[in-house]
Amino acid sequence: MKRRCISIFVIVLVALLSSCGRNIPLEDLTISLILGVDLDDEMNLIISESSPVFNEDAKKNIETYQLKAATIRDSRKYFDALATGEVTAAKIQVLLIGKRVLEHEGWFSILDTVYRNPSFSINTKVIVVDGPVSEVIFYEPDDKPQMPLYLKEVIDKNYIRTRTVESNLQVLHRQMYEKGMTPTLPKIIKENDVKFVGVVLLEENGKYVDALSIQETSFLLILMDKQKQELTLSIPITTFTDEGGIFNKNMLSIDISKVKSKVTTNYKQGKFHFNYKISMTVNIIERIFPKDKVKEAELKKLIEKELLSRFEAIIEKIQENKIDPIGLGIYARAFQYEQYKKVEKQWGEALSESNIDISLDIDINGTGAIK
Amino acid sequence: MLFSRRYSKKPSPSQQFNDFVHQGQISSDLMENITEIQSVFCDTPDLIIRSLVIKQTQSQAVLVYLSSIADSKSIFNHVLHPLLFEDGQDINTEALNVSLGHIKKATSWQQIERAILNGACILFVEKQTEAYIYDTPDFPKRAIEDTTIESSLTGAHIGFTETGSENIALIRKQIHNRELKIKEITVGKRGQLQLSILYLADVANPDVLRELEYRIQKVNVDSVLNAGVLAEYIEDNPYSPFPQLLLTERPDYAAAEILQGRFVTVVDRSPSVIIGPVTFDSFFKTIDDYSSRWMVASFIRLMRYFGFIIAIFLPATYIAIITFHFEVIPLKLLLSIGSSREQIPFPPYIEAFIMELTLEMLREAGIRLPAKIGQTVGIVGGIVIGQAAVEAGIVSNIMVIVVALTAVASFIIPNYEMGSAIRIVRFPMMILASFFGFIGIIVGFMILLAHFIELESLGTPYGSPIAPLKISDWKDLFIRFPQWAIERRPLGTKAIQMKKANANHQKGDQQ
Amino acid sequence: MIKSKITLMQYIFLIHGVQMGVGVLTLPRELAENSGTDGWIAIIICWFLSIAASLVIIQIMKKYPNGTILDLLSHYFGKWIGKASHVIFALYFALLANVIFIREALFIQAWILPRTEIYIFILLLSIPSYLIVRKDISILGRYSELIFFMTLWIIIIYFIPLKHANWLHLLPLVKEGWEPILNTVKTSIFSFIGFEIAFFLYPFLQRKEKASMGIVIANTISLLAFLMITIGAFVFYSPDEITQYKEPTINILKVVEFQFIERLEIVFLSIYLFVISTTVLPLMFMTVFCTSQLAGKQDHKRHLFWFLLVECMFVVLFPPTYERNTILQQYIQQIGLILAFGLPLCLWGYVWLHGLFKRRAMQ
Repeated sequence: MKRRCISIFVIVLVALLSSCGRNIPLEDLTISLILGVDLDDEMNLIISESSPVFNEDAKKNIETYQLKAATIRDSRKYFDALATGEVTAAKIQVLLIGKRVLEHEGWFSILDTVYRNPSFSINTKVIVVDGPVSEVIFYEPDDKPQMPLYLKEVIDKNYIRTRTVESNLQVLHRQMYEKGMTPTLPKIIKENDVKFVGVVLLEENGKYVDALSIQETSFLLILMDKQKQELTLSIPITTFTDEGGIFNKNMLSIDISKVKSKVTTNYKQGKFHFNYKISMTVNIIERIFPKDKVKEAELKKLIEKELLSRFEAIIEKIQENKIDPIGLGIYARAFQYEQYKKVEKQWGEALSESNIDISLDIDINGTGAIK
Repeated sequence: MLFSRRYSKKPSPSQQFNDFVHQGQISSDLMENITEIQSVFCDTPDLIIRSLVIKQTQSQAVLVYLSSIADSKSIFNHVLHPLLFEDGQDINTEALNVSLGHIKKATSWQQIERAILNGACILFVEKQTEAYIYDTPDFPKRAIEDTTIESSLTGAHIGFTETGSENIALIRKQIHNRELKIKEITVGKRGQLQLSILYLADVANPDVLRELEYRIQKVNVDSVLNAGVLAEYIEDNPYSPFPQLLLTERPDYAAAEILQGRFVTVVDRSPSVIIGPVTFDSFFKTIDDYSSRWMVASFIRLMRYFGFIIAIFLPATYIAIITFHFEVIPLKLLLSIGSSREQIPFPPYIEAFIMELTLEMLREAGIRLPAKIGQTVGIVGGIVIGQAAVEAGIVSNIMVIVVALTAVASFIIPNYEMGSAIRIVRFPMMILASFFGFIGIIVGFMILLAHFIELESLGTPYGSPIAPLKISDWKDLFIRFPQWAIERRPLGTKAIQMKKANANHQKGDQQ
Repeated sequence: MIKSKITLMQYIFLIHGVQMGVGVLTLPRELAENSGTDGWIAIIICWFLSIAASLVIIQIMKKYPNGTILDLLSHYFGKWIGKASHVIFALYFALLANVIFIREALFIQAWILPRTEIYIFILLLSIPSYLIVRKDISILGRYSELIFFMTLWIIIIYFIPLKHANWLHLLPLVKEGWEPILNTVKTSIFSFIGFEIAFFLYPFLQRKEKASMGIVIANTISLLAFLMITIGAFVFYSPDEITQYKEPTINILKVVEFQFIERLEIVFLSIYLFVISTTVLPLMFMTVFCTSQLAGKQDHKRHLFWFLLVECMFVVLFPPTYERNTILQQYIQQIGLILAFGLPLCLWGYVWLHGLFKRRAMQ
């Protein structure tokens, strides 16, 4: 009895001791918050990372490095040589991808380690940079929080305001593998400031094809049935002539509070048919032009027409580029499985030939506190 | 073996009982008896030997007592005075004319010696081989006061004292029932101690009583100092961090437990009584839970269990997160922890140990010191340890918060013993966490659970409504249901009469 | 001979505990590999099969209510077959426990502490295992029961990622016909393996008339858990994507974030150790129960100690890898299939015939 007790004790002790000293407390780590992937002019892979400095003596509270490396994992050894602590990827908040990377097919495989290594966070925001990544990652504005926090907040806020698509590593992975959908990613640009400008549309294999502005993205999100909070749209009513003047007199702003978008899927005459039924409840919150210019009943028609043209423009763009950022392929698979299976591999093409009809029904709920 | 039970072992051959007490019978010769007494009680200046002639029978007699522990006034009024000055007007001439209630006769020296040491006075009469024992004790004792450790807001403000008979009286005051039985057992070879087991004969389980008696009888010691010592002798698993018997100084609480079907052991000379068998949840209840409204009581009770979890796991979790799993902290908190820990020269576990041990020392220092110095300790602890240590960069702000939370959480446990148990368990958890992170904590928790499940109190399962799951007992566990809803006694006590007698609450609005 | 008793609840949660285990973590992928998002239908079929087998087990045990399957086999087939069955069951449970125990450690290493050696986890986990298993079956029953209720809240966390779910992934039902679904049954039936411990639990059960009901409830709880997890994974991941992940069940939780805590999969997997322990510990108990019966001893502490020691030595001498573990698991599952489904059927037939002949002989 006693001998056994002692032997267990010894074993435990040995186990404890052998695992000693293998861990690093968090203040001694270099915790990457941004990871940047870009190509330089000679088509070399450029990896950059940015991490906070905890030391009070350091003047800057963030350290940023950029270097050439073969892969993301390969870059770590160089970073370890540069940074104060052991570099860890567990808290990466933002993954910046240069637009130049997206212009080449098969770039997705460079992100392999992000999914393979369990220590990576899967909620990392993926953002496309129009221009060199280094401009964004080295940018240190005086009036903004640290860049990783700032970028994350910007994307989160716009997501909640229905202005950008959901884009983290998990979603990107899903969209890359899903055959019935093509990926979309938010895009930022560095001019005087870093700002969010819309989303990029990618092909099935990830190649860049086109971009959407912020407002177009909102419409795309309605088509995807992914709107979050109330969505504000400012649209010019183009039917009546602009009376000129500095203050665009034909502008109307509406708040879309409730959107229901329903798709029915059919297969007829060798074509897929998607019928959208979108019903919205809107509030008019800004109307620059005088009231007598248009009647209440007409106003509804005008808005419908205006919005419809926007939706159609987006769909045209999608079909032209043979992509499917909405995910209509998922509907096709769910409801027309046999037909879908035949064209699964070239779904973008199949979609470009299909019919997408949209019927819009607007319900004006209120016109605000003044007449 | 670790965590093995004490009573599963075979009893070791008991030591030869060495009798310190004088053997033999008293003699009919008065002088011989006096010499005998003097030889037994040599070097005892407070021994009074008073020779007298009893007026009633005109025979020579000697009165012997210890002046320090016998009540001189009642000896004079009720023994000496009647013997010296009153005629026997009674027809019954056998009995001596003494105005006392409790009179015994003894023939052996052993009885006499014990009686003298218990404060009795002994009357030897010429030519009689029997001595009279008059029970006139007057031990120094304390008045009944408010409880000191287990204070209560709305409960009775009466605590047990150091006198066993008074303590029994306090319990009897609560339960006027003839089924309240008292079993007396004497323990201790040198300092003999009277134990009384109180229970309701028609409710409490006789098997448990037998077990309790058996264990008490097996205690083989010189003297039992107080209830805590006895509890350590009779508890099931001495290697457990958890207390398996409940000590209380509240008569109302003890009475309530008797009514539940438990046993209360009153230990003479000790201001607390032992309640057994208990379950884990007993240590999280107070008498105030039952006198306040049930929602309030339930909320506070949930807080206590929450405090229990916090006190055991919070420092360990801190260590695990800082050392291994910093990923789980959200970014903003991570940045602030990082900058507050940056200048700390110690790894997290050393930091945590320094602070936790300091806290324990401060607490202990505060208890034993007089109240006025105790305040100083508080100030020193609060300012020097808290503020200055952070400023000097010895510990981080977060650590101070963790330690403070742990302390508060462990003080919320109403039972002092259980509170201390938690504080002890915390340290192995911290060690495990510093080696294996969350896995260490989980393994520690598993070990704790394994121990908790198999632990017993007087042969009944310790984790009763939880570990052998008994849903019907949950009415008085985390949520205290209204009193009228708790109709049955807890299954954990193995009571033979389950239904409470007073469960006659009118359902609905029939009245 | 049998002193300790278990209640109906303990009996239910012991069986359910053995069924829930490491398998759940990979189950959605295994199903999706074979029959896409229709895999969940296969689970329901498996549930029917396992309930049928369970009920047969109970019917057999009713013939010999005061002994385990080992006593029953010795009773019907003589001493030597009885002895052999001791060895077979002991080996089966030992290997199964070994596979799951090592798998558990592999998961911890992969997901939580990549820098620590496997054998350290095995050593560490051996301590609570020893403390719990060394006592009788009622302690184990209490443990399973407690853990079930203690870990029930994990389900709530599992529902959080479902706000990103797309339920269209499940449509159309039965997309490729029934054939792939029936093929999937072959792999998913292993999730339900574990109810064969009823062979050993039955004599310990307090109220034997409820044994059938209990085992059905246990299987149903497991079914609900499996269904919830697989359907959750299917609607969260795209059907084209799900096969990419080795353990989709854990991966889903990586998405969950709260204001005060992130990376829930680390916390979850740590707590999930409790659930895995309810699988491993009964299996260990069964192993040492068989061996100590074989040796004719009542106390199984010493056997348990040696079992754990051998386990540790095994891990130190042959450092396990994921692939080797998987191969071993596939073998042991085949044996499990025979013992859990084949044996009851054969025995039932034999016992029935035996009774028939006996009655004939009496007449």
